Amino acid sequence: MTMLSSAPSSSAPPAGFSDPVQQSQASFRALLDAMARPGRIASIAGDIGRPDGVTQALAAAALTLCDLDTPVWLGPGFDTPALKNWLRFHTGAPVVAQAGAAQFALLNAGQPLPNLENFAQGSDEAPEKGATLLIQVATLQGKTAMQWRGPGIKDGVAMPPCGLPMAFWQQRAALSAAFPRGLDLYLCCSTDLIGLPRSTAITFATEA
Amino acid sequence: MTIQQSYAATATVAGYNFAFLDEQTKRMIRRAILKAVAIPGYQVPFGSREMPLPYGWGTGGMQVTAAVIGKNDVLKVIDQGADDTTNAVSIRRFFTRMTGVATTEKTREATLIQTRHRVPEMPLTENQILVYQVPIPEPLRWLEPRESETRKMHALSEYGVMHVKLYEDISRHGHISTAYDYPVMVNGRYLMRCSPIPKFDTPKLHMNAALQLFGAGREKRIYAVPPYTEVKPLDFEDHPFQIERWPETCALCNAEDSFLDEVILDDRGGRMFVCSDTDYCSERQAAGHRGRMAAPYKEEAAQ
Repeated sequence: MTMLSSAPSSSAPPAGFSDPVQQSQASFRALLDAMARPGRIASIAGDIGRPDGVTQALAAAALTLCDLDTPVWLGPGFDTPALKNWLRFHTGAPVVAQAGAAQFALLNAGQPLPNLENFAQGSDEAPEKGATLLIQVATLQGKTAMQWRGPGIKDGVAMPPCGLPMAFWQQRAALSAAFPRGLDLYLCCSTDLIGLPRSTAITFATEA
Repeated sequence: MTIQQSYAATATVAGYNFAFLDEQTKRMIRRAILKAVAIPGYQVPFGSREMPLPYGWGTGGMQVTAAVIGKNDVLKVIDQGADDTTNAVSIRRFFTRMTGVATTEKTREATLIQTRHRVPEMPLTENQILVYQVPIPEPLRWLEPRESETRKMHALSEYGVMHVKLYEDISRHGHISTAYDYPVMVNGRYLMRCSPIPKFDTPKLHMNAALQLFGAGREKRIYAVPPYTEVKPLDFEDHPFQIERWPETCALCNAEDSFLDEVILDDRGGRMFVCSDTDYCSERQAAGHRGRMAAPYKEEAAQ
């Protein structure tokens, strides 16, 4: 961005999208595809200036979806001045202290994750108020640990834990009972992401 | 014409953002679309904008299309199945000028299809998105006018009133007389209005490979049916859901399996039935299928 290059400073936030209109559209299509087809990996290409330690997929998702209207909560590991400044500069999103007040949460699976019940789940009359969690994980691979079933999945899909502890998956599986209330998740690793809408039911091998 | 040539060749109108809407509006619509996909059949409220044509002309569908469309998309727009009717032509021209994307009339070439009141006859693929223009999104609206009440009914999945309506149809006419906009249950949870498509098209929503998005501009609602999602028309065991049948086949392409429009030819009862999906009909004619009123073609003329 010319504004940044003309006045460089050590504290200037990284550049974000170089072509915001087209890149946010391309990122949105990846996010839409991932949410419409849970378990299938979508990728976000291109160059995205972002703070150290934040993966491309998560950065792109945040830039594409967050703005002045969306309170954001930063989880352990992401609650840094660098990320906060970058997010505020590019999106203007208010960073909130209470997880339950956030519409989006940026979480790092390298750190202990908060209990999923801390986040807004929406209500039966307005389920869309349930939060969207963007979770950065170390891998999307691994041994099969569970089955996902639901809209967008043709015959059920075998999924690995995607770098998240089984306690997390137990929590997420339990949320299905509250449908249509719930949380929508994106698991982001490098340039790839997987969507997990609240409509997906999770079963574990022992139950099957 | 390839996509790239078409993109480069088309002059978009200066002074407008790509796809007309500003970025903040697109973000708001995009967030609504994602929630709609995550809660199949639920109507997500959104801040519908003024579009440069009146409400009722597809402003909801256009806003969804504008939020989704990218420069590599190939757009098809249909109105009652036809690519060449006023509404389809004007919306296609709007997006050509506002985005410069390639457009097509061929269902199989399109990546994004905006439709008014029909689902294309050709099965859609996983690489396609179908955007419906919706006039009234609330299936219970003519039965319960209060939004506060219908919200509660959806929250409680309390849809008995719709069954009563269908039952009254049967008691009055002997069959369910709802011919279009047939009420469906999505994923066993939400009652949904599938926009005024004929009930002939209703089964196509079930387990469709494509993502289906619904936009209602005046009523400010977006909802969705993700791919491979169960969509079940409401019916009764002794009065199962049935689609329309016609006494004839298409007069131009002889199709037996497509939705037919009746065209009155004179004032003595003369009539013909033709496919409502123009692309399907012309593709069948190109493949050599002939109906009883098809134009005589070269090979016949040469004999």
